[in-house]
Amino acid sequence: MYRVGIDSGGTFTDLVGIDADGALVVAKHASTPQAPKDAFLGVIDKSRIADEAIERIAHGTTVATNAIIQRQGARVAFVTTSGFEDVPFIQRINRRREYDLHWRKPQPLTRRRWSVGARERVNANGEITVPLDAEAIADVVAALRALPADEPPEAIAVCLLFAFLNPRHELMLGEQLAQAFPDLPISLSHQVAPIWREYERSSTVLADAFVKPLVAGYCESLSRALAARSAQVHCSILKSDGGTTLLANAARRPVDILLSGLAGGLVGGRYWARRAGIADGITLDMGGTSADVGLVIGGQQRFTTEFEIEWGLPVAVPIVEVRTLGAGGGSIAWVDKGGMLNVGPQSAGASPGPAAYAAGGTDATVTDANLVLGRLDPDYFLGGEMALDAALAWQAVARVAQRVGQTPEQTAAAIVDIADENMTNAIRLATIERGIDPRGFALVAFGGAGPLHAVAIARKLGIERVVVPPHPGLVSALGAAISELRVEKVRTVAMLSDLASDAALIAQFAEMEADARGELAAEGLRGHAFATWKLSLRYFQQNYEQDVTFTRAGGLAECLAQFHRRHAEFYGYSFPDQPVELVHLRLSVYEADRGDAEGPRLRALPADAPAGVRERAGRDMGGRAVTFAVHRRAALPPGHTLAGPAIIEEVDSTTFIPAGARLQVHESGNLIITEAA
Amino acid sequence: MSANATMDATGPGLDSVGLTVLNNFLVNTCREMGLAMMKTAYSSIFNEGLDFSCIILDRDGEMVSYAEFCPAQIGAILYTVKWTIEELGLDNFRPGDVVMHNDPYRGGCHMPEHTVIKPVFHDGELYGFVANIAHVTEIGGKAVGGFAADAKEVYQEGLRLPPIKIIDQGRHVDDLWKVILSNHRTPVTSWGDFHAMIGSLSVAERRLHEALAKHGVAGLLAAGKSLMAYSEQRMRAEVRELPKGEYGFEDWIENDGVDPTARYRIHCLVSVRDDDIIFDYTGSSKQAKGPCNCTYGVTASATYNAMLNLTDQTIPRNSGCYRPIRIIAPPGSVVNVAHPGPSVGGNSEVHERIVDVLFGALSAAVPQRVAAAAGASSCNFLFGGRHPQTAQYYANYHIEGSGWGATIGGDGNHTQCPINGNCRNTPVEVFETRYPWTVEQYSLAPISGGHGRTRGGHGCIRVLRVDAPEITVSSFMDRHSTRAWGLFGGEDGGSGALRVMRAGEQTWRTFSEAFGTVSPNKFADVQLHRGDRVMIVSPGGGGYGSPLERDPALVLEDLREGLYDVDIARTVYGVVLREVGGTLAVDAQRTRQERGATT
Repeated sequence: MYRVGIDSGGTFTDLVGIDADGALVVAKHASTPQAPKDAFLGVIDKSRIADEAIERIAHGTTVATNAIIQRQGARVAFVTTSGFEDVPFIQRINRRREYDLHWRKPQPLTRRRWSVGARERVNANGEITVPLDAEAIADVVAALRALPADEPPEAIAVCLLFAFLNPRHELMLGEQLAQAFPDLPISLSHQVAPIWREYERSSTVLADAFVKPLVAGYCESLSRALAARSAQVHCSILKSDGGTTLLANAARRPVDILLSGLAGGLVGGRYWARRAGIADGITLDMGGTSADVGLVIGGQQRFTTEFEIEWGLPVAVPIVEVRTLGAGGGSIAWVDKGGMLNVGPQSAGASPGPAAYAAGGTDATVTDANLVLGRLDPDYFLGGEMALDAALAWQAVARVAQRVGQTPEQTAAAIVDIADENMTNAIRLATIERGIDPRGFALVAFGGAGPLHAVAIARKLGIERVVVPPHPGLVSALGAAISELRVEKVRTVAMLSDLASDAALIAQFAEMEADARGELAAEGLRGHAFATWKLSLRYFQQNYEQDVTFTRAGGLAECLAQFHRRHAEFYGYSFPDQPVELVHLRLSVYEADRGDAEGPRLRALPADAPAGVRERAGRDMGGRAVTFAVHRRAALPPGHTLAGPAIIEEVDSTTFIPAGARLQVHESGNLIITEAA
Repeated sequence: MSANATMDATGPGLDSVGLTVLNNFLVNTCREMGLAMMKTAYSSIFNEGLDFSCIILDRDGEMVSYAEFCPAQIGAILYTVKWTIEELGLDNFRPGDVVMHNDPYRGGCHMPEHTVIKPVFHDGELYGFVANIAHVTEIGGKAVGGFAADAKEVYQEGLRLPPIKIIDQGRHVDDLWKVILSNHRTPVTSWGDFHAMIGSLSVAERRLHEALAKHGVAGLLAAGKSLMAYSEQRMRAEVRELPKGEYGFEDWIENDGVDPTARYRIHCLVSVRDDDIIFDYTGSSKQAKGPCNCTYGVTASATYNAMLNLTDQTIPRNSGCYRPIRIIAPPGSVVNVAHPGPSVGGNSEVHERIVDVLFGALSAAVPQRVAAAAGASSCNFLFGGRHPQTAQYYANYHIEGSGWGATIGGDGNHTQCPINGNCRNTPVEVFETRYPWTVEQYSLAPISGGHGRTRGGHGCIRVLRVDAPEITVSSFMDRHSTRAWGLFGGEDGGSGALRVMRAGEQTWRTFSEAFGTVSPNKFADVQLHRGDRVMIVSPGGGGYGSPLERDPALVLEDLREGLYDVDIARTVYGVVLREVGGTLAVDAQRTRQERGATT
């Protein structure tokens, strides 16, 4: 029986199937963005895995992501506390850039004319101060019916003030609106994101409603198509938090799958890090237009609720800690007015792509620079499926070189160096922001371009180990295949530490855990599930929290000690005698890894190319001529070591090992790169 | 030489790649400081509002890098650190020292703006300083929240600190802390906020040590000088691109909190020369009695702010940017306050007005770059008291966004933080959790954006109800009788307002009517009681170009979005609408007629 992961990317839809013995089956199918279901079914057919042999499918999809990015979702009517209809439009009143008179606020996922007020009020203690009566409800229904006839709403989002403290009014509205508008999906803010701050909660519930008709339609079409096949196939969608959820649940809470397509990479990266015996890793999934950076700490992925659709439009639900940077092979090099060289964030994308694609692009990109430096083989890009034009790349880089007064080779090195530095800074910010020092981490690099840049970035960050998993281009689909059932829950308590008791906290956590286990059972959990309990703490009057693990043994006292310690470590001071506020209880319950802490043992794919070392002329970072030894990855057995400068090629990626670095092939199949002793 | 090899060298010569890399690193470091500050501060104005800035300076007090969470502070930081070095002496800094400073006459912005400065050493040698300048809510003085809008002297405005070491080689100077904290109404909050500021310095210091380990003191100093030279050269090139000439403009501050009939002129004559530019404020009014005066630091900040808005955004921001900019601000005037004149409102209300004056002046030179005037009142509203639930004293500095001016290419944003800051609003749910008010309304102010080919943004309306036995409030607002001007035929934005409705009453009155304050919008220390309501209306921005030239399709969309009504569409925009199948559509023919007839 196979566990199957299917990852829909912009260009390809990838499948990885794993049988009980860890044998892998992989397949690739051109993506069909207009009808993603076709590629989904197509890639199953191409894999030749029989439906009866599928234990379950977990699917990473960009359906919700694309709908949001391209703004092609539903017309959402917004219902909120009367007097606050403009909250989604006023936003947080700051601007993206300090000195830009021409910047415009982002357009929220609704319109002012679709925003309706309800006469009701709950106060900061969760008490109802203005009851929502029948007349107020009738007025909301009437206002929704009176919306412009040429723009009938397709979904309703409800966000009432302080509903996260007392959801009664939202529930009443939800019920009555469902009766009045039986065809419209309704999203309630306290169910979608029970968090403090009305704008962030509004923006989140709007996102849920905005993608709901589309996601529901997609899930239904998958259900139908699968049901029509010979066998009953258990299919779930990969959630933004790296867990999975049944098709029906994804349709009900689509906000959970907004980053479905990104989560697979992190889960896959985490898997390979563990297989290499690494607990703390930074994953770098770099492709053509963007790079996704994630964190794995203590073998677990990290979660955040600080995702933004675009600057200023937050979606505050648990997602894997992934930061997307506008840095990829297609990032464009440009020279500013003063003659300083810059790279990105503009990208040549997949079309026209880098100059070397010979598809009309003339800008020098990072890929072009890598070609000039001899790090890429023009005849073995995507395993030779796509020929690169080295001459066009050289010309594009030479044009930039002329403007900065350097040789093309020096300029190519500079472009790569600046791109590396940009990623380094972003990784630094992503880690430092969380209070994490990246130097204790390994860098797990995959995607088409990640392994090319990983060692240089690691050096800049002071990271000592780089891990390049097998089949770097398939890590996301693999992540989907091995993803676990998972439920994340947050409960806001907002109380001072001296009023809290261990017994009460344990009782609350236990209650949340029981609920979560119930949900997992409904999702089809068969084996064990682990649970972790965390408290989000801050000094009273601070507005941002630090999460600390809560254990029955250590209780609150141990949490507080840890909180003070971390505060002192990171900010240089702490107030051990000041009251601490308990803001949230956070719970994760997740499927145990089938008795194997490292996850399933996978067997290697058959070799993709003959063995043998070749040599290629290239350039070092000073633009000086050097010779690279070029290896095919499949020819390197576990235990094999070699020293840089060297290049490791495989179908879906290229790994660059600069001078001074040393490669060892780990028994797991990972390439481990460290500094030569 | 390879880029890497150059970067590793300790010599003076970083190449352009090395400089880009270093600049990104330094900016990033300043951002990290800001994040640390946001995550740890106690006051809403910091953790929600982000009213602070983070800076790296070399040992000459030159700014090497900057993360301007709040652009108002950029000018002041250039002067406060230099003054501090001059006053304390470079030799008197030791590792682990932290200096605090809020003196408006020693380069500061106004009294609430506190700067903390920490020297950074490498192998015993001083490299420079990391600094954080931030708006501290409660600083003592006659009015809670630091805005004594009717103050006549600095002594009423709060506790003034010349540059003093509050931490000496890592040890708190307890006597000073006692003095400072016993002069603030909310000592616990000040304690938390000051430590958040100081904590951000530790974060930056750690990072700078990494850079110093790599480049050494001499190397990093030289690289910083190169960056500044680069920025200077870029800014001079920008100035050279401006059409040469002299451009004058003026605007007004409507009263000063002491004399309700006074008006204060802000005038600037801008001279664009070969590769430098002179901003001469000599035509501005004499110093006001009340606190609507600017320190030199504020006038400089506003001037730099305007220039950065009109020039290439990719120029690395450091002291070099400002070298081509010359400022003439006569002492004893509203743009350069002399001791002991008060100044709290200059930074919050006059800064914006100065920026608008410069946009107005340069609209003749670069019409495609400027914006029409913005509503541009921070609507400073201060309050404090004992919280009925906790019995603790609290204080809060509340601000509003206002409508922004239109530009040639787009409508001004609705309700956005004025240009002197880039603060966030405090969410209603945070506000009510922290303070004993109920917010009854927070919405866009109807028809407050000025009409035009592109229109000004709307301001907002907020209605607050007192939920405690007593709250003491102060206000420093402007543009309640003046309006944000439009450009090139665009109309002016709507004025702002501040009103109060006493419990049990049904009418909105001004604070002068209800409480006899000298000024209706600049006053201090008014006691409100349970059930009293306050309405703040922020001003709208000016329009750009004739409304008759606005695309009728955009007029229709504005109308559907409820930004104005059918009458305005017809009378102001000359757009005639008709109903087609239950929805509105533009009547193209009659619109042409209407517009032809009007023009």
